[in-house]
Amino acid sequence: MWNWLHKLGSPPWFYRMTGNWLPWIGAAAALLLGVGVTWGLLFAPQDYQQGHTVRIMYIHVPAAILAQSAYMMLAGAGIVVLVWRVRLADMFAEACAPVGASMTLVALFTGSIWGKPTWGTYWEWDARLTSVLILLFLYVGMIALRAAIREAEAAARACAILAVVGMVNIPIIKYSVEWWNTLHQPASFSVTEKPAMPPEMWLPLLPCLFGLYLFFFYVVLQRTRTTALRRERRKQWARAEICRQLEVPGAV
Amino acid sequence: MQADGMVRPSLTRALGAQLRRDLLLVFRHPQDVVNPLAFLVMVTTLFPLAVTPEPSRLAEIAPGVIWVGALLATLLSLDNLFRGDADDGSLELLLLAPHALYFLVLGRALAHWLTVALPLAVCAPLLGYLLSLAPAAMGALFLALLIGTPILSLVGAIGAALLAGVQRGGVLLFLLVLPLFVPVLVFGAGAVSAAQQGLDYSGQLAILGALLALAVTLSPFATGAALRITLS
Amino acid sequence: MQFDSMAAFISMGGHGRYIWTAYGLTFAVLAWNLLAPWLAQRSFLADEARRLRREEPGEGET
Repeated sequence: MWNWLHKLGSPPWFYRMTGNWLPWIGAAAALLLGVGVTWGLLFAPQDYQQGHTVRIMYIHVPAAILAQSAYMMLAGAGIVVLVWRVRLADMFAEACAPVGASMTLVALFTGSIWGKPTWGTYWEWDARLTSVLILLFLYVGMIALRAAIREAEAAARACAILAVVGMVNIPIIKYSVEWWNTLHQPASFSVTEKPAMPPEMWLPLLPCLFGLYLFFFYVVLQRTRTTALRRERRKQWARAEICRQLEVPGAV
Repeated sequence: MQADGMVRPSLTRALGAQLRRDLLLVFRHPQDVVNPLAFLVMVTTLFPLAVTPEPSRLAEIAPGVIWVGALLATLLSLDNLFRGDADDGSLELLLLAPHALYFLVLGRALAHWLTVALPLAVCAPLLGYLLSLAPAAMGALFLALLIGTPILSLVGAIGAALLAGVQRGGVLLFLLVLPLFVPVLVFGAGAVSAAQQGLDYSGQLAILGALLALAVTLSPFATGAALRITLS
Repeated sequence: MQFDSMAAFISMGGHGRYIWTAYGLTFAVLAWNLLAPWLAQRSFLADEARRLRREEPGEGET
């Protein structure tokens, strides 16, 4: 078992494995997203209060879930970096940050646009949107920290510490924002807290969510592969791989 | 004298020596205390100018303004918490000391709180008066800042340690640490607002106390780890 | 299907611009997420090609 775990941390093994898996992950992501979005846009019923705007939920909710998941993965990878010093985990964390941040942006934009016809305003300081905004700040800080520290090993461990500190703080921040929200908006109408949604409405969420997860992994693993190649470019396996790719320019 | 011939001062004496050194440094550079205070006063003055001098509206925003000002002032002074030592090599000595880094870091944060944050907390009621804060809320303001500012020192120290080796720290420290300050801000300002409305604010103070306990227990580990990275 | 005609689909009961902006933005972000790593990989390979041309000929050791 330790053997397998050891392999997991080996960049050349990772590169080879993802080379095989990625096309399938990408295809599955495209399929699930295609099905989910078509279902949500064309076949799901409209809401009796919000009309068709409820269809925004099919991209807003998965993006919000992914934004938070991505940070958890980032923090998990950080723990692996700090405890076991697996460099591949840091490469993964570095890839997670921008993708996670973009998911947060999608969640914020779609949430904001959804708010206009629903609440009458593009921005509402409710607990959910505010928490997601702070999550965006956490991502920005992470990306900024990595850019500020030049030495790779130090940057890896610094970002890992920040990720763990952030992860510990996220529940505290969420609780404090929710408490703050109840104080100031006693009768807030939260768009995602509604009386039980019929299955015809929430079922399309499933392919959208899983499709987006697979998309996330596809993109992050692509980024990790390039990072692995770049950081290990002096090593034998990387040089062989680079030469192989340069000989056949179309192959990625 | 220990078995291996080494003379090892007790932890208390080491912490005392460190505290004395930090206080002496501040004494020689009084601007380290005065500047954050001046910043807080100036920022507080900006709001009546920018919003309105009308007392009732000022009173409403006073808790938030003073708290945000205190937050920013603390962050400004945190930037140099470890950088000076990183530059002249004293940081290595700190890490090589025979005592647990945890306590030395705690001592450093304590020194920072005593010299920077505590004066802010003491001056805050005066600024509250300038912003027409209700007299009933003055006590709450002082208490909330008293409990909340150590948290700022402790958590901010993590950011300062992460960036001690980075020359262009500056705004980056704000980016890293501000999201982590949100709970302190929410409950701290919330306590003062509640007091202003005549409501009970002990709950908010209790939560601040819990956050302080959490910060004291956990943050020195992160700060210590960050310091080791800076010196690696 | 929830819509009688293409026109009804696009207008979405009057909320068309919100829904299509939201979906449009999302797909733009997803597209950027696909494009950026691909471009990064290409530029990395180009840099490596240059470096190899500089260093490899005649050099036998790492």
